[in-house]
Amino acid sequence: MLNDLSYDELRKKYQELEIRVTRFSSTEQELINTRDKLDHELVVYKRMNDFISKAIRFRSLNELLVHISESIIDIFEVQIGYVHFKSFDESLQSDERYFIEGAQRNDESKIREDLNKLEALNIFSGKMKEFNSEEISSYVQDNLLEHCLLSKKMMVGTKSHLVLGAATDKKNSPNYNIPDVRKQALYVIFVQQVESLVNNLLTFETNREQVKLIQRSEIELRKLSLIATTTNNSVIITDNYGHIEWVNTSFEKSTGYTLEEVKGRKPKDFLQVKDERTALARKQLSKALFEKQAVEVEIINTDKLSNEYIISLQISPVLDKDGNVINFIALQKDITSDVNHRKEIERVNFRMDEITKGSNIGMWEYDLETRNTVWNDVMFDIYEVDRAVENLYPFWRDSLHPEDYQFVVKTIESLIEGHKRSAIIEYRVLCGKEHLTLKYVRTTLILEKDNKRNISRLLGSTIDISAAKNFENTILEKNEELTKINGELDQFVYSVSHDLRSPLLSIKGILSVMDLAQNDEEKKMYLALIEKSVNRLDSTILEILDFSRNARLDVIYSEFNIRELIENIFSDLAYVTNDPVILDLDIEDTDIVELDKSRVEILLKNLISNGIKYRRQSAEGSFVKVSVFSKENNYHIIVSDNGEGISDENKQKVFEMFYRASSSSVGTGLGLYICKDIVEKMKGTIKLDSKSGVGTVISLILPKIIVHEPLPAN
Amino acid sequence: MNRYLLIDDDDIITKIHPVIIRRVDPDCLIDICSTGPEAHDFLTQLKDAGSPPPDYIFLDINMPLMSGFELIDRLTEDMSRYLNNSSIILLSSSIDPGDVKKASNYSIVKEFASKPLSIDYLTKLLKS
Repeated sequence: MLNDLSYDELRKKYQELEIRVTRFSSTEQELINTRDKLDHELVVYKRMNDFISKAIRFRSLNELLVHISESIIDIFEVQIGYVHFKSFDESLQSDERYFIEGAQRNDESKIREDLNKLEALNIFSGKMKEFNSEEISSYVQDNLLEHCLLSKKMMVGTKSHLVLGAATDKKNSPNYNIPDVRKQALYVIFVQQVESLVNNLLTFETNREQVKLIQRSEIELRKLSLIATTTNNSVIITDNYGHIEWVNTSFEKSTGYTLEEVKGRKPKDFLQVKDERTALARKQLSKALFEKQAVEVEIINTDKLSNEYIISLQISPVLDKDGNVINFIALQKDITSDVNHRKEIERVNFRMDEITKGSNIGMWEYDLETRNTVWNDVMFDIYEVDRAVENLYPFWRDSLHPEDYQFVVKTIESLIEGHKRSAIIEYRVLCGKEHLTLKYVRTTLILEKDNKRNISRLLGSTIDISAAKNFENTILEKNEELTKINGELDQFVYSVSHDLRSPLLSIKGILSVMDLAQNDEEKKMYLALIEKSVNRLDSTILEILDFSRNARLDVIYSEFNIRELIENIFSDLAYVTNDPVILDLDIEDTDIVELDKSRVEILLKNLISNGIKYRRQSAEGSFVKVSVFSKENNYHIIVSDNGEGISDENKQKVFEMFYRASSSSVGTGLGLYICKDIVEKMKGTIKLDSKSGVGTVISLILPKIIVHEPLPAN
Repeated sequence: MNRYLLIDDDDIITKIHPVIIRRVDPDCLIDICSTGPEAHDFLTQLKDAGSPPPDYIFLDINMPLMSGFELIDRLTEDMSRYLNNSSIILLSSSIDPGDVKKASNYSIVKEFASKPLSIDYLTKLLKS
């Protein structure tokens, strides 16, 4: 058939063929290219598919976001993947997270900052935006990036947003393609996928939190309802308008109302007593409820039978998450008995206070650990210190009398060591700021232990017993004095009875032998002895009378002639002895003195008679000298003799009752004792000076009567 | 033959008591001292001379210078062995319970008697 064609025709046909072959090969090339492209897209989609199938398994946002940043590089075949998550929800742990993959380590933070700046432009909200190198450089300095794609999506509940970025830096740009239009379409799909993935995860996390919350609140609720039903306190749950929804059994028991009876009613309409006693509390209550605040007040309620009782009312509003009141929960505790107890305690305390004040009982407490010390008013009064004393414990310690310090401290220590629980001690304290006033106190100490049986404090009372103590001391002194006087009196009685009886017993003895007297002379001798005994008895009795008179009678001053007195005494006494004794009288100035005459007479009688009695019997010229003179406000009377004298060892004893220093004459032993007694009564002094074998000098100084001079006229 | 020593400051007693003693014990020897120191000196001399001690010593408690008790203290100190066989009798006008108690502390004191000596008492004393 070809042969039938002409060359031209053949040529023509060849050329046609040639064109068709050329067309075909270019179509073929196009087909190949298309197939390659499709292959590549398939790979990309496959990568995307891998990304999604992997991403949906993540339960943690962080892991997911890391996965996204890695997948951006894979899917879009760029150098850098960028993810920025920011949450506005405060309940999530981290506010803001950046994930950047593929950037050179040194450039990473710079690139992150730059991308962050670009996204802050906010010019691509909700959409994808492409930046080339020049555009980027116009927003940031020293731009490292050649190209980037950015997109921003708001997330669930608009509480967070997510920014994705795909970028390539200048250094690496030759190795990467700029994503073309098709890739950009893929990018949009990818962003949508990511958005839903992240949203899912966030929702899941929120749900999980909520489930936890619900679980927790269920437990709480279960606990609460358990408490509400088993508690002795009344529980009321109202709606947000205050209408009762539920009450527990305790409420029913304590008020007498059943749940059915009170449902829908307002507690304040039928429970609360509205009078001035609770006015303030009710005001507080409504204010708090209006402000949706929890409140606790004490009010008075009435039960179904109109009995009043006092309650402590606690109301807590239950709020939803938006702060709206859903319910009120009211807890009422019957504190009638508490209040009554409290009142009783207050009353008792008040009375105790009054009593302690009235009876001057100091009350105190001392904390052993802190050394904190509390005193009542009486304590301050006892210790004579004002209430401003800052640190009572050191003050108290300094007040202790040094001699009693150890004793008090030991007592307290033994209490603390647990030997006993309480103690009563008496000690001295030095009161006042300067510790100058001595007082006696009686303190009762009680050790108080706390619940753990640890010793926590000392408390007690202190009373001022100074008056009693001083009185006691006075009594002790008086008692001692009395005992002494009693002893002296006993001694006096024995001595007196001895001295009264001895002459009588002598007479008895004489009489027992007298009947057998041989002759008259012997009888006369016995009679003389009897007379002597009788005289001695008489003089003893007189001396005792003198003694008792001195004790009994007051000192009476009168003017008298002392010379006459002395001469009479001497002449009365001198006959007692046969030996001559000379009286030497030396009276200065006037013979008239003003003194207690009867006492002076007893004094002189005793002293002169001593002078005569104890003369030296063998010696010639025995004398008794009496000098009287006045000097200043005193009379001086000096009685001296040249008699036996008194030995040194006896000088102190001669003034003792019934002491006899001499054996040479018989005295009662009362004379000088009476003299001393009289001189003391006259407020004078008596002094004895004597030398054995030489003589004795007794000096009396007797004060004159005190004449009060008339007050000078004004 | 009994030997007596009377120690008393009361001159009436020292006159009467020998009369009473002789009524009961006619053939006797009686010495008299009016103070404690005098009696002490006398007994010391007696002892030094090798003479036998008095069989009976009547001692007054209440005396000046030295009381009966003070003398007994000295005698106990100086010559308790010498006076071992002597009967020392304390005499007093009044019975002070304190004195009786005090006397019971002295083993050397035989008895405590009230003045004046009576014939009955002496008769019993000599028999014992």
